Amino acid sequence: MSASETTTITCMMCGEIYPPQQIDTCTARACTSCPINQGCSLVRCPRCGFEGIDPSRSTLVRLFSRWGGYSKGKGPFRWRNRGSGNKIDTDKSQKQLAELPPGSRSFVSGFQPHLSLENKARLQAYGLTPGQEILVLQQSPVTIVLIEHLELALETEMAKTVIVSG
Amino acid sequence: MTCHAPSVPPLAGFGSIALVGHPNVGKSVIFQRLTGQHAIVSNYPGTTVEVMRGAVRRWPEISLVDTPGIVTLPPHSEDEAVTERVLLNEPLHAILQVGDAKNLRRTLLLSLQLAELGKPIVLALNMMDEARQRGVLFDTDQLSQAMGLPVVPTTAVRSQGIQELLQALETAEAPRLQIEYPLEIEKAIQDTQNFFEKSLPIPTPVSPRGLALLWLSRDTVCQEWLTNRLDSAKITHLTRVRDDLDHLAGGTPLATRIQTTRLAWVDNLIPGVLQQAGQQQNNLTNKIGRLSTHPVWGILILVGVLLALYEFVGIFGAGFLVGILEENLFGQIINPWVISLVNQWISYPLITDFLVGEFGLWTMGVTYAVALILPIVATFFLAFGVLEDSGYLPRLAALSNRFFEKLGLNGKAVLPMVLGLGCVTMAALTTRIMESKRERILVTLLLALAVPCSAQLGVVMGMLAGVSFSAMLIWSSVVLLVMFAVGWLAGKLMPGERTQLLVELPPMRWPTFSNVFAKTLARLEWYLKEVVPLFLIGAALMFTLDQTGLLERAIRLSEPLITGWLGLPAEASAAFLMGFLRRDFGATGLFQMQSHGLLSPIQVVVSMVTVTLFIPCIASLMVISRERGWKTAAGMFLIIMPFAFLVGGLLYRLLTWFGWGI
Repeated sequence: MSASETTTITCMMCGEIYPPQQIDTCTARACTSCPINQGCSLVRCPRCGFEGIDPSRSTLVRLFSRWGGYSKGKGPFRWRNRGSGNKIDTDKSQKQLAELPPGSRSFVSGFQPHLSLENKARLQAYGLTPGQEILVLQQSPVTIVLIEHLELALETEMAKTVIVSG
Repeated sequence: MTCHAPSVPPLAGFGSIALVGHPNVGKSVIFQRLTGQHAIVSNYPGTTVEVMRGAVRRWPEISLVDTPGIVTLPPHSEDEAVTERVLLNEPLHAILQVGDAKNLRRTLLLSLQLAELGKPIVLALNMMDEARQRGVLFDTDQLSQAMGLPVVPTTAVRSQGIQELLQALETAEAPRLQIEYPLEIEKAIQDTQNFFEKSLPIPTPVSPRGLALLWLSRDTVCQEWLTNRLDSAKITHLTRVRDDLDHLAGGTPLATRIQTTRLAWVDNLIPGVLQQAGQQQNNLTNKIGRLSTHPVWGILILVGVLLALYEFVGIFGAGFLVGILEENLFGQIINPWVISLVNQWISYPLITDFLVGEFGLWTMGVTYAVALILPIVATFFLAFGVLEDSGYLPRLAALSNRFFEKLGLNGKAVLPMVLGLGCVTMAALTTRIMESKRERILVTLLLALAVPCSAQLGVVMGMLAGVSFSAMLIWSSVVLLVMFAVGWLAGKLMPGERTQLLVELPPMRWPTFSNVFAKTLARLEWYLKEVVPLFLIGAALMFTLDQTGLLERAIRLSEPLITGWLGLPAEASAAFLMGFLRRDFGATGLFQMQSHGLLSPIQVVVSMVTVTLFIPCIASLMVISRERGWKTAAGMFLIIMPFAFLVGGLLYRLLTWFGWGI
């Protein structure tokens, strides 16, 4: 869940839409005296006080979502989107391979400068060469990409050194 | 039918054909189809690093040399270096590259590199069935034209295309392929090429242009080859030419620029020949393949696999088969017969004892190797072969990578570690798949220290189960903890960088049982040839020690350590000493003590832990010594021995202090 996401919560009771940040300044009587006020993933609607949930604050949910691929309400077990790979990364900017979500297609454009020659040669030898189209299959526990018809598993650290772009 | 008069004479009566290609393309199957010999069909470099040869069935004077899978030249591992050495040192008639038909870009890149070596070459595009299944379509003839070399589509597992392959090999010529490199590189190639033509004896094993390209790419094997043939002045000159060019490039290394040029050429070629790129399938095996690397499902699958392994190897192999062989076949039929035979014919007690006595060559050496270890190892190899053939192992490596990261290794280490549960001796050989020497030593250390082989595991489990579940728990946690602690520490102390995981995941497939069987047989053959003699030597050693009274002395001397430090009865001393020869014997000796009620629960756990951490059997120690060098082996021995006893003693004190089991 990237920082650029603006999560909002819709109150189940009154329909108010509010950002969860309000929890920090929550003056709901129930919360101010609670010892876990700051780290709590439960929030309260500023209008009616009804309980809502901010999943980004829950360690368990984050764990589960990382493992279950839950993202943006897509359901827990779509952890690996092999689909038809229609999600072409139209963002032309450079990104790290490790940042691409499962199911996205992209093109290798280069490598980080700090990548050792040895490792660069290894990556290229398996087909991760500039211009090669890839399909990201998985990012956890390791990065797995599809290059032509070859599935390649590489450590996240390595995946961070591969620069891709649409 | 036209009368064919070949312009090139058919294969002359000498020389070899090198079989080259990426890993997992079916090279070994092609090898077997062409030579008729059962080679090990394996995806995995550890078992094919011994370069295999076989006479080509059609032309018996020509030998086919199966090389380790290569990803690209210049080589990046010991295996790949071996492949290149074959190319440079064999009297090659031709190169036969086997490629995966589904992965054209990668395959053609290697083809280009091999073609530039200037030897007659044929490209077999294998696994055509899989390519067709996925909808990959290309024009073989057009490809052949463009590359200037014969391209033969094959499906080796169904023996399709083999005849055409032989045909192509018969008439293979050096390809007329030559790609243009950037001007300044082209000039350097020419200069270096001319230099080679003048200074090296003709004919060179590969074309001078090919050598020049290897040299300029800073290929280490080529460098080594040249250094052995040219004087230092010439090498200096060559180095200068290369370095000058590197500086000119301003940042991008020469090797990269050369490779980029090749890539561009291949990328240019492919659209013209590839009609359809095809797509992934969604069948059951693929689904299993996907799940096997899932963080949660993958673990569940792994647990399932381990349980199945336990049932097959532990219960069926170690329990049932060993029971039949050791007790019935050998114990009741063969051994008494041999013993009486020996006693009939030989009247010198020394010799009879040597052969069939307590430490007899037959009664200890052979019986142990054949009745006890063989069935266990055979069932294990069978199970392992199934896992291997299905393509599961690399996925297991990917799944367990994070675990091994902490030990300063990467997920590939899971292979030797799992194999070690079958036989540490064989696993010690498999450490070759680790990319660096540092990692190979680390894995070997962990194997020797904390992995109980199946022979030992059976007895250990039996003994612990006889005490209580918590005994089992304590044992496994201590062993795991030790493995982790030592692994972590050794990882930090050993100089060098950890090699990050980068591994291909071949498509999961139903294992072909003929493959698995062939692999298992080949491994068993290896076992019989290499390991059994080692056990015989061990038996002879023990015999000598016993006869000279040194065994008794050693037992007496170690008693204080066993009783005082480990808190075990004095008889356990003999068991430990035996444990060096027969890894399970250490455990079995203790097992017998337990069944006679001589061991308390604490003693059982302490002895099992110590025996597990103890050095592996003499066979594996010898193999480790051969693989990693005797100094490393000695070093490990010196670290592991006292450490095992240290942990045992500490555990004893800890458990007593806690009053466990009382």
